[in-house]
Amino acid sequence: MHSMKFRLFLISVAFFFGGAVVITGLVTPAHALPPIKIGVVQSISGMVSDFALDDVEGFKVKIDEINKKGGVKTKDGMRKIEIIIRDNKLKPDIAVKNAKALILQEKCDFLLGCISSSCGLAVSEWARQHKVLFWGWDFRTHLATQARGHRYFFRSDSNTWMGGQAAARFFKDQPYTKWGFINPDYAYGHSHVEAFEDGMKKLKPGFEAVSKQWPKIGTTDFTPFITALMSAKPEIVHSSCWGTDQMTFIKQAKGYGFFNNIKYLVMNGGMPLLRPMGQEMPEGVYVMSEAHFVYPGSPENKAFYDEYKKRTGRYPSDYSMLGWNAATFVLAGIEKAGTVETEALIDTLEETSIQTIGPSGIVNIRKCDHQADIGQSIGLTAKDPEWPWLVAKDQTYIPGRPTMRPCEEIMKLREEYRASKK
Amino acid sequence: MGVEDILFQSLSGLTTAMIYFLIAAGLTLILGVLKIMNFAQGGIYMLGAYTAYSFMKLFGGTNLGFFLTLLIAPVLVALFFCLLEVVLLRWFYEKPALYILLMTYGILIVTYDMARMIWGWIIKTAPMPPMFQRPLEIFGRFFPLYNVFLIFMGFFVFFLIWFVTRKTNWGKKMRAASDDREMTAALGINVPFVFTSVFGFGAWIAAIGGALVAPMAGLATDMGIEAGITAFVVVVIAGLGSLPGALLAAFICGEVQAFGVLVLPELAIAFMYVVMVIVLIVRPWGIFGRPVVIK
Repeated sequence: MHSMKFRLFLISVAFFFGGAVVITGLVTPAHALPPIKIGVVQSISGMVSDFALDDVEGFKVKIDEINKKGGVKTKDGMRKIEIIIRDNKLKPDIAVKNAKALILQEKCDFLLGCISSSCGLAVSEWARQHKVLFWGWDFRTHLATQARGHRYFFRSDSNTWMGGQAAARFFKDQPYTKWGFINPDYAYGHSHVEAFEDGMKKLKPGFEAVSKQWPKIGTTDFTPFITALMSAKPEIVHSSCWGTDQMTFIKQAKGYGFFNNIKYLVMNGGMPLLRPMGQEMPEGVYVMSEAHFVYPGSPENKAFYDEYKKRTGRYPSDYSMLGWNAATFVLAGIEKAGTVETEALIDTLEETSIQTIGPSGIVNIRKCDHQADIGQSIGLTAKDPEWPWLVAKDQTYIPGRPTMRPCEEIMKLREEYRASKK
Repeated sequence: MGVEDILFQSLSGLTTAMIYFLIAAGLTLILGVLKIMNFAQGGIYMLGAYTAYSFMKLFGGTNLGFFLTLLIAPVLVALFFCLLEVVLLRWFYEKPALYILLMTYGILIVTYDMARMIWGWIIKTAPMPPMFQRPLEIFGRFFPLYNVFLIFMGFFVFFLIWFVTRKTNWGKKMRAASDDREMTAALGINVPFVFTSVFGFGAWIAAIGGALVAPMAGLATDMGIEAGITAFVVVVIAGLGSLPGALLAAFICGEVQAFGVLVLPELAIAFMYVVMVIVLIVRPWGIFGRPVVIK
């Protein structure tokens, strides 16, 4: 039982601490500015996980670097950056729910995301309706900055149009005219084929599409597609399949002797494909990416590689660099605008350029469609004794600006799209 | 399209068919004997693939390692699911069907996260055993030797199941317990043990399906979703609980897919479902199924 003395002791302790808290509250200077919150809508699970992790980790490398220096400088003072990530499991409806939660409940200042083209388009539409800034990374359908683009959407990665046009610019100088296609049956795949065909029809006389296959995402058995493609006898096959689909296709196609007589172009053939494939990857495959593994060997590149390896235990991929680019753009915009207030930030971002660590060097945001003019590199896979995976040798760099669709065409597409929605 | 092209395409369809069969056979067995729709089947297939991947890597991607994996890995996965059956599912056989459905669905979801926790998010690929890396020449073109092996294994599993269910005592007990649980128990047969063993056998089939697919596909933790749906479609076309039906249905789906892709590539994804819809309209209890009498 507590004696009177003990109770007095407890009460005085309570007063002491209570008083200390109150005094501390009065005496401490106004607390540090709240952090800027970036809401990330990402698809972390399943077959996209390799890309998803790379995007986010690359992004974090830059953000942590800035946070270590105290944050980004705004008109009110230094503010740190906080990232909140939500997994949408590749489902557009969940992506929109996440966007809502991040903005309305978590009070994020703007959104970033989203890997899958279908999720990205859904979130972009939501952002447009709610006038929220949405910075797109890793989802490539050109619809997002062309027909369905709007003021509130920006993208720092290239889009499928640019990719297709870049590939066409490269392949117009190659001898192949009979093309086969195997692409995933959704916005991304269709956009890729549309863009590439548009470029080739304009640039390569004699271009012929002899077979088009459309496996759905998650196909584990490509055998009917492989045999159908081969029976059409193409000289070269174009593919934007990614993740496990591309790996599975290559593994299965090898068994059919596909790569003996047919050349192959992988539109997104960077580390996320080459790393897990290891020595099973065939040599002499054309691979395209914004930033292949050992390119370029600049000191900034090396610094990024070392930092990334230290953080994650693995080497960065093209997607890590794209994540870093996104962070750099966004930070540059915030610093220039001095605020995260949406309209002001958008006005500033429209005229922002950054120095990237990939082969593109300086990348600018184009004002009319908010698309960054990042370029592509195409190389041929080859074994390299230094690495357990194949690398892209003999790379050709194709600058981004000329591959972008002219502004007037895009504005017209946007008008047509809006009209069709009424 | 020459005769050779057609024959070649149908071979590739047969490969697809065997994969479908392996995923669906376990489901139809469990459905036939235990009368439960095992939603976790796709997850078992996925775990089978991942476990096989780990073993194949452990054995260094050798031929011997591959066959050892096929012997060991599916058994381990099956034993794990036997345990789950004893601990989680047994309570619900006498209860309304919904409980056990929800339970198997719950197991499915847990399976995905389990796979993610154990193997991580990064997509993987199992090494193709060296003996299968040479292609076979058929009709003047190359056909993967591994596919031939897979087709062979599909038939082997089919005969194994047929033999077990028709020719062994265990099979007799299975069929008895599935027809009349109370009577079988009254005869002194340990019905719960029979049920567990059937569940394990069904799991083993899915697991070996996954193990066989592992070297020829990329592995991601969501590979079970697609497989689960496929299994369901095949079983519906086949007739719930029919093994020969499952083989035939898988064959139909595989060949329809193979030729559909040649004829109408844009609609490739729909073909299997179109067949299912036609079967449901014309013969709703499936090709080999029996019309259900509602008492």
